[in-house]
Amino acid sequence: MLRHRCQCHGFKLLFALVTLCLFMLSALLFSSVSFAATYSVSDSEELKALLAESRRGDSILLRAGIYPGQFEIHHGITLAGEKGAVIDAQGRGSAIIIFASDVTIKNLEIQNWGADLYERDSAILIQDFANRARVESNRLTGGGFGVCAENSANITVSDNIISGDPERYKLDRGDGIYLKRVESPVIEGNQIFHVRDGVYIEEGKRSLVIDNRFSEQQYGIHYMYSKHDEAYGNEAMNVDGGYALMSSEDINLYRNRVSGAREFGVLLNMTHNSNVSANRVSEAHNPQGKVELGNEGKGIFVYGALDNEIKHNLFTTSDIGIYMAMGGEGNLVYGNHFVNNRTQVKYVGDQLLEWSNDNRGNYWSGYMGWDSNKDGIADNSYRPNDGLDKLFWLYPEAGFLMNSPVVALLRWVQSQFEFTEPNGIVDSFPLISADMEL
Amino acid sequence: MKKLICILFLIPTLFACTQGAADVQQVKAEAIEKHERCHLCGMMITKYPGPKGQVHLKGQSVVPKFCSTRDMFNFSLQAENKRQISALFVHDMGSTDWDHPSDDAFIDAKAAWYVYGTSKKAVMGPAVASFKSESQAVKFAQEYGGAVLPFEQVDIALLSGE
Repeated sequence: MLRHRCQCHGFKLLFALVTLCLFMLSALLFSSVSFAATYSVSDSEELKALLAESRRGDSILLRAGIYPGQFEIHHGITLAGEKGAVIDAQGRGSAIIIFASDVTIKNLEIQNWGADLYERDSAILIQDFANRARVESNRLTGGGFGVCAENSANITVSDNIISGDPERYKLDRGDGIYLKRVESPVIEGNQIFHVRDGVYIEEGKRSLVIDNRFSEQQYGIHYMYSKHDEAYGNEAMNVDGGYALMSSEDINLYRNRVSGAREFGVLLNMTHNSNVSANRVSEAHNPQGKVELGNEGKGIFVYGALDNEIKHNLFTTSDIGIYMAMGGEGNLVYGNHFVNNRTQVKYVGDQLLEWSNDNRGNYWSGYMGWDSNKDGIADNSYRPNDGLDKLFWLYPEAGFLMNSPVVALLRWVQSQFEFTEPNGIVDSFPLISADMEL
Repeated sequence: MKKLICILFLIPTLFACTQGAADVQQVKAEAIEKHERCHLCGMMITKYPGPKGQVHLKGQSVVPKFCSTRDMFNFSLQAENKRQISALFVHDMGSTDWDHPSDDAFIDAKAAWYVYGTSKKAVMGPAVASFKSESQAVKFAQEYGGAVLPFEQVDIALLSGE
């Protein structure tokens, strides 16, 4: 009996405790909702005072005007600008530093922040473990990084216009968006120019980079030691390189465009298990390019990269369509369109590489083959390079002979008979007509 | 017809002869400027740690420099570049700092020793750590792992991880 009463008492106590906890929890939740407020400010002092007092969930609206200084955000708030609200960091440090998770920065103009790259001077600097930051529809103009984040996750940077300082030497500029050890960021719909790299991703995972425009910079997207990333719908113009995949894995790069790259449209370097498909690269041209230096403009440049698929891309009007250095042999190349490149393919290695998959090869402008059974595949295989191409690559000094009648004769002879061990590229199933969708 | 082809293949040897005489002067390693970019991958060379390399080419005033000894090998081992090379230099990691190798630590790459497969990080894949003396290479390999190799054994197959 006694024992039973004791138990009963215990249940009552437990019930009381649970009720108390629930009450406190709801009070907490309720308080955060009830106190979340929207404030507006019209100068730097007001803004600083409010940033110090603000609570998670608050919104601060900046009225039109110039706000000189640097600002720190320690709570998960929204900072938004009226049209004409400008934060000016007066040439030093970062304009906004985010220390908390769930911060949104939108509709602001930020200018004139510092350019010390070692100190990571940025328009918006996101500190370690500040997750879920949203940077939307801002205009950022300054010397250092546009948005810089390390060691965080789920950051969104969308619809911003980010411009670096065109007066600075390209490599002394910050990157438009610099992310190091950031998981699952989304970079969408930004316009980025006059920076070092448009989007630089180091040791990242699962990034999504879509529908951005890049121009006047080193590379559009630059992956270093990154994994499981995806990029599509991006466009790069007048850059050193369009999309550089370095020491990375499982990158899905598709439906992007590059035109007017000086070095390459796409670079695959020490990268594995990646997919490069349905991209369009045109006019990769290096005005200072020399055969002897191997630095002509390349639609795609592959070296030291294995187990990737390069398919259904258009490589056109470039110095070289595809340059595969020795060490890049182990990749699948099919369904691509090589159209009117000065040199369609450059590969100087000794292996014989088959560039087709499942009985489908690539489309080669200038190749005229027969297709007697009308299946879209030429009857004969195609070798984009002959032994004489290789000879001139090995001995560029002899280049002046290239157009001589003797060489023309030798080319013809070589095309009729096989003299040397076959090596280079062979496409056993060349596509007879171009895919109009590309 | 084969004879004709053979004659054409001999043409380059003429160029080889004429160039030989001009290449006698001593080639010196150049400093890597702050802004210099890797000739192969295009990255800023001084931004990343580990030994760097440079390649001097016959008849070229431009001296390609590389973010890593790995990229230097990846360039210089290509058939089309091999015979253009007049000198190769790499950092002696026995006499300079790993993170910021210094310009005065460049040594002849062909006489250097290499440690491949080490835990020390460079850039563009596994480091190819370069040393002037074999004993220092061995000491490094004992500390950070990896195999000690002479210049001739660093080839494309090794770099590709085949």
